[in-house]
Amino acid sequence: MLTTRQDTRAAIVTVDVDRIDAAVAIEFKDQMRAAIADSDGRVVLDLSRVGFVDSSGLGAIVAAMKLMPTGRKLELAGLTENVDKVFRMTRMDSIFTIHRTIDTAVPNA
Amino acid sequence: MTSDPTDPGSTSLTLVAEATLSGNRAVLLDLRRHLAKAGHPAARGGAWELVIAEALNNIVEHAYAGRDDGMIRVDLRWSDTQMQADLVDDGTPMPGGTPPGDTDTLDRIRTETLPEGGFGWGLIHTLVSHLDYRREGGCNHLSLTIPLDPA
Repeated sequence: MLTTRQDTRAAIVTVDVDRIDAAVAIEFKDQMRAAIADSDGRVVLDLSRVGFVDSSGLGAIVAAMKLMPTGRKLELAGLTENVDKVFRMTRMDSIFTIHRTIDTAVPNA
Repeated sequence: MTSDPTDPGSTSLTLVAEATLSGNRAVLLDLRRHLAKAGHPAARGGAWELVIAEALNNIVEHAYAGRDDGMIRVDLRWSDTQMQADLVDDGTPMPGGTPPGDTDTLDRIRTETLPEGGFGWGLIHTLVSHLDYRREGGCNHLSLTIPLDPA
């Protein structure tokens, strides 16, 4: 469900599924753990293909941030309307750096 | 999952779904398809999808915790402005006889603790205009009224 591309400036992790919900939250967290371990520097999570995140999916994204080693940062990009609302309602938008698009986060990656 | 035969213009849907997390997803996708067929703008998702997802997941994870034979009856009715969802399961009652949390639950989240859970009921209370829970005939009856986003 994840594709990782390592750039000199960041690792770009693209979510290839359209829902991060309770049915896949554990798998998402496991794949994030592997993606973080196999990459360097900041990680930008591209959520532009994701149209739905529930509270379990949100919890898994927060959990992924906590898996980041000291000195590395997880950032988000490309939140669709429904996903953006979930982050704002729960105020989890305040704990992440959120970029409008992946190109804003890592230009010409 | 079985669904009643419905005509494309219908504004209601009754499903009896297997109480599993993937069964819950199937219910939401089925509902999206029905809304799309009817040309309803809510087919693109929104508050209704999140509320129903959280309520169904709670049934699987709490009412039916430790059981794999649970079923959930889902009655949905919608208009241009709101979605009514009535969910019935025969799992364990809500602790204390009432759903957890209230409309201020999300305001009490302490972001600095980086919480990985505890959002579900807060989202439900925030997004519904009416919520009713009762235990009747050995079943949980949860009734949710969700205003739909303007088209």
